[in-house]
Amino acid sequence: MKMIRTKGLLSLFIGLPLLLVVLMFISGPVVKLILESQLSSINGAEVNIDAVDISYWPFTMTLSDLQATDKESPEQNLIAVDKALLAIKSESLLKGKLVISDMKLENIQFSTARKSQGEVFKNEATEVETTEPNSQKPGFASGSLDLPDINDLMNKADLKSPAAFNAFEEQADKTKKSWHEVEVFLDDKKKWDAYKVRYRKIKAEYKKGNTKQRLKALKKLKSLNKEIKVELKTFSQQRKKLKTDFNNLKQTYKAAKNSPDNDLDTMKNSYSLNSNNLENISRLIFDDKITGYVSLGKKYYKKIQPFLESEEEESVQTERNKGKYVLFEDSEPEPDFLIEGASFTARLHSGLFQGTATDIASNQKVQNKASVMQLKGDKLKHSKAEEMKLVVDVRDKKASIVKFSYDITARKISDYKVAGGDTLPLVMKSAQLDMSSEISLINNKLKGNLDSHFTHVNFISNKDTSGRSLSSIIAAAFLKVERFKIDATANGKVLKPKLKIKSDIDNKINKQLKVRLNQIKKEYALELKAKLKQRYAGQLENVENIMSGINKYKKDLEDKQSALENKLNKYKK
Amino acid sequence: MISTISKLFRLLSSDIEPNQLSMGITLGLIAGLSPVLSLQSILVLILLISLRVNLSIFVISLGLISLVAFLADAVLITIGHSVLTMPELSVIFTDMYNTGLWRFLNFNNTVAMGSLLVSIIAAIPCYLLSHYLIVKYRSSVVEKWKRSAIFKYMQNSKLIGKVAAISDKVS
Repeated sequence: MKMIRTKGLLSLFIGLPLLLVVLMFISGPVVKLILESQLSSINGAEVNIDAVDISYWPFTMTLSDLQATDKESPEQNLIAVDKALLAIKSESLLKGKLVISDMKLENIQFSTARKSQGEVFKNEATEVETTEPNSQKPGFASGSLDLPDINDLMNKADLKSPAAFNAFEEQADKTKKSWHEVEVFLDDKKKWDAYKVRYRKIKAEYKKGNTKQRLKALKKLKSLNKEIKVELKTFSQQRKKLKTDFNNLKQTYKAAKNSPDNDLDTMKNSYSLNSNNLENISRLIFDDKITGYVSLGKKYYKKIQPFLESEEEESVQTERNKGKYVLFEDSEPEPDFLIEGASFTARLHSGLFQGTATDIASNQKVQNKASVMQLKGDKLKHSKAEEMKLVVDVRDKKASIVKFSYDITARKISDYKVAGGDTLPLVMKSAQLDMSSEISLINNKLKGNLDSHFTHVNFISNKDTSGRSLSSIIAAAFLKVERFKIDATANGKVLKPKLKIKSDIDNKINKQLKVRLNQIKKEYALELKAKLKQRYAGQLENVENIMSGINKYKKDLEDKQSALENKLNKYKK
Repeated sequence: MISTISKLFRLLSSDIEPNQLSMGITLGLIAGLSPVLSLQSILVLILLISLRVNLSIFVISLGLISLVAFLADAVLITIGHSVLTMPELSVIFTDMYNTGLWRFLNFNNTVAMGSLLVSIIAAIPCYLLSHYLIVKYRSSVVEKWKRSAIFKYMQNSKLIGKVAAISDKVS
């Protein structure tokens, strides 16, 4: 009896190689189907691969035209790769590990349009994005600092000028009345003529008379002198009164004349216009933007958090026929999944980027190396260069380190909406940005800093920058800023970082604001003064006329007094 | 189950060479004890293809051994673990561990190693014993049965012939 099965042997030596050849031919389409299914399941939406070519010596896999549907927007791709070349270590594959010694991804593109809408697989539990309630932010409370309308201000103000004018007029009337008595006294012609007649009579009696008559005349003269002395004393008292009255009136006159200026000062103090409330304009304007980036960071952190925290547990299988695997010293230890080196080109919105990635592993402890990813773009559409670097070190899960840096050189910014709305429509028409930023996440504690320099800045605003509202003043101040810096720091917990934004734009804007505010203050005060002058022009003219009349009146009285004094002094001799 | 046992007895009573049957039983024992992907499983497959082994008895043997193999798991794991952790063999096993093909064949699995050793030890005795038992069964039980009055009656009975035919068709 023949123990050997001839047909079986033939099938073993011919059929098996033939089967392997057939398998090699069909492996591409089979792997394509498996990959599409697995990647679609991970992505949550349809993933398409145009073709998969497998070469067995060396073992490489080439994926052409990979497109992953964006589940948020199925008409476009989340990511598309023209060609992906993977050199896989077959030796490691036999050991049950996927080790990609070299990976080349050509022309990675994001958000490209799909030829046909991709299928989206519905999740049982859809994540509901919750937005944090906006904490109260300072807004542009322009009304509180705006200048009041001049007419309103004048109508509402407690103006002292009318009272001062009235006081002067009353004082002038009183003075006139008082001086009228002096006038009447001085104009008493009979009285003064009587002195003349008496004097001449005494003189004649003295010349013609005898000694006795002369002595009598001298006695009469003495009596006359005594009376004249009394009159002269009255003149002196009246002169003093005139002077006192005039001085008093002069004070009231000055008060009336200065009252519009005093009212102006009072009104000036009733409104304030300063830039003290605008100490941190940069926070006011850029806070929203930076907070937006922080929220984005939080969103991605929540996605990668499980990878940073979960510890891979080696489970001991005790099921039937599974047994346990006894481990020996591995001459080349490798994790279950490893990409030793990868290079890729990515066409982003701003241009072509080239990147590398090393040591992307499912367990970094095995190789004791951190994963490093770098992406660099030169001569880009809007900037001279941009460079990103990501280092993920989770060798010690309790002290994981994630570092991300992003540097931009000479990025041209155009039509960047800084602040919107009707209150302060502000657009950075053009600028150049140089920025360096670094964020590190060490043991779930965030530490980040951002230094950005904006040069050749050109702000524009459709706000009337000659206006006096705060927003107009700020807009006008921005228009004069040519360069500024923004430094931001973030510290603390990842999901509740403490943000600090500092910028020299605050000083620049405040400086401009102060200059402009002083200018506006002066203009406003001048306008107010002119308005007051216009309102009190008639009264002021009246005051001047009264004062001029009083002056003249005083002079007349003084002249009359002098004339009478001279006359009386003659009689006294 | 009944049809399997009936099939087994029919095979044992048939004209098939005892060594083909005993080889099938032995290979079924080895495959039944081993994990799917192991060195011995591949060897069994090659032997099944290249040698004149009765496939039916192999399948029956594999099925029956698989049913009771879980009882032997503890023993297999203990044996496999003791061998794999023998310091004297660690150099060899370390070299094997660093070779992809051996790792692919799960040599460092305690069940795989334990079943391999048990298979190596049990294969020849199993072959010889099954061969002896088949020959003995045929010479004593089958021959006696063929000579018995009941067998002769049943062979001549038309009714039993029809029932047997229907039973064959159904099975």
